[in-house]
Amino acid sequence: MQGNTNTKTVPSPARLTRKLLRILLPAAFILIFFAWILIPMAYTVLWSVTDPKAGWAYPNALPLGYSLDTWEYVFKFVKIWDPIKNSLLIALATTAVAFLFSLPAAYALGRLDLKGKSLIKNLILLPMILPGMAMAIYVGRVINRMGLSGTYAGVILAHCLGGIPYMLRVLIVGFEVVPQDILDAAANLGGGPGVRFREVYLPMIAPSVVSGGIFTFINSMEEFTMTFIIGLPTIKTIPTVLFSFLGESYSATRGAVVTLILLVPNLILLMIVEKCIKTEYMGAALGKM
Amino acid sequence: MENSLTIKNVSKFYGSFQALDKINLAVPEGQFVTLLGPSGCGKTTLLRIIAGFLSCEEGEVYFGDRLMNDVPPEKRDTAMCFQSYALFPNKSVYENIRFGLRMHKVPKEQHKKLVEEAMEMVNLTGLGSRRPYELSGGQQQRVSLARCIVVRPRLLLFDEPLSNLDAKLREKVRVEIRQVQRQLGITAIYVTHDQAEALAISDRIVTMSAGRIVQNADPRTIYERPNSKYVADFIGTANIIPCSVESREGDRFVLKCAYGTLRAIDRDCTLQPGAQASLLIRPEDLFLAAPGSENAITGTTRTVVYMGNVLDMFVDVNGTSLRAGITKENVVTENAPVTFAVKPDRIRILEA
Ligand SMILES: Nc1ncnc2c1ncn2[C@@H]1O[C@H](COP(=O)(O)OP(=O)(O)O)[C@@H](O)[C@H]1O
Ligand SMILES: [Mg+2]
Repeated sequence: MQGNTNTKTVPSPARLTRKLLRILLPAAFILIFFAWILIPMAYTVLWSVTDPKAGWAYPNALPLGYSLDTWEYVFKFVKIWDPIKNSLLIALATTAVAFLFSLPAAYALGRLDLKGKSLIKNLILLPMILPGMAMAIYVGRVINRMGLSGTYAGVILAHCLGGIPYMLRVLIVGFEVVPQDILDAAANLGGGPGVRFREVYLPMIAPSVVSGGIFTFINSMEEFTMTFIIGLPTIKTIPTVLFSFLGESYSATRGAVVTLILLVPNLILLMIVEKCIKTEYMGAALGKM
Repeated sequence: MENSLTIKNVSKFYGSFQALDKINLAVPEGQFVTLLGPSGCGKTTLLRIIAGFLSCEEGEVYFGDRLMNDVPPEKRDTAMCFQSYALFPNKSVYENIRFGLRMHKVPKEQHKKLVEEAMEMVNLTGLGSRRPYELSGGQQQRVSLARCIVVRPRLLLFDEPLSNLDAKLREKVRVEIRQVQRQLGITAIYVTHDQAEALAISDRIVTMSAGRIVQNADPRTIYERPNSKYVADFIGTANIIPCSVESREGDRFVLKCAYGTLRAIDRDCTLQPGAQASLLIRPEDLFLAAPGSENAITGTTRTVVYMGNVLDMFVDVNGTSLRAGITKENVVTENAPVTFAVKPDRIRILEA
């Protein structure tokens, strides 16, 4: 009894070390992770408010002067509003088209007994592993043949190619994990195919829809190569504007501003979705069944 | 009485594997019928054919006198409780139970009253706003039961509904299921592999083996007058050993076996003298007796286990094991000589 209390009050050095490690290691990882994201972010913000006339160069730790000139320039002279509108419009349309295409396909691949199902499931992933530039060039040719070069439809179709593999993949898994018992229970109580789809499948695949949707939207917002090859010069999006600042006539300050503009809708989207997922779907998805 | 359910010559194949072989079954209205058998014998398959989730290659399923083979599940007016509960995870308890009412187009203003009635019947009052994942297993199965009975289906179906519950709760929910079914008079088909559960809950037990029905009878008959070694062995504990029929006078038999020469009375047995057979003695039908009394069996105790309600013992009789369960007042030590007797009408003669 006595010995027992002793070991409790005076932990051995080895135990103390282990205890410390258990706290320090995760803390270190979290720090590194934040540094990885936050330091570039901080630089981007600083660059965007650096006075272009003063500049910012090595070995100075901070810009030599601050101003909002670049922001003013981007909004006043570059007509950035059009690319912003284009980007949002194309991303929304891409997400919608990719979803509408993927939904029935994922149902078939996830729920029906089809021959060669696993082969198809693997082929779907091809666009994800092919080099983006190669894909863009060939897709660009096809879309040109269809007479859709320089049109919204063409750009949206091309963007879909980036989103659909992921959308399909998560929706297939979403459909696959719906327990047959729950579908049977619904049928049993008088729910026909329509009811089963609306009241069983849809709520249960909702987390997959959200995750596929975010990916497709952000993927489209950040897509450069496809837009560059198919959309330009008629259709400009935020990434093509960014490219013009970083490529043709290099300007770190303008690049930083556009980068931040690109970041805002994505961040807002992520935050909204995070809230939705937490309150609505997590319970359903993680509940014991 | 009209039959709620009639199954005629139903066979089911999964590819080339035959899961059901010419099943015939009639279930009178209001009865509680259990499909009992070991895992893999085809109980779930038969239940899913009744519900319409599966189709059968051969045979017919009738509800009353209506042929149901081509009727989809949502038009069959059955309701099933699943082993997995199968509640809608995104709906509240109240909405889960209301689902069937909406589907059956019951007028909206009645929903609240009907749902609350059903919840009261299964002791769920006050839990309507919870989500399924906020409930214990027993409560989830009760929601599932309430969801079924609220629509007053023609057939209540159960597929091992208690398998995921612990022993105490299993018994409690079992009693509740039976009570509710009696109270509403709904015909029920109940699948289980648990023979004790089947005995406790059923009007009739349909014992199955490898896709066939072996015996269809009330619990007492199934337990006391099994029609085969298979049923005798599957239900309860049993001493089953080979014997030969020495002589016969009407329903009185003299049998020779490893336990000695025994007299038996069995009105169902059709075997003639000279036939090889098996005899069945239930452990609880043995009682301590003086050597030399009628149907005495003498041996040496090997293990004696105090079970609380009985003394469960294994006895060596001329090299053959005999299991006996006697009342707890008796004191029997291990490795001691002991003599039992069994009444002739408690011995059952089965085909070898
Ligand atoms: N979808 C299926 N495909 C192939 N075989 C199956 C399928 N479902 C069940 N079986 C087989 O049919 C037999 C009966 O299954 P089941 O009805 O589930 O038995 P039980 O409910 O009595 O345990 C088992 O041998 C099982 O392996
Ligand atoms: Mg089963």
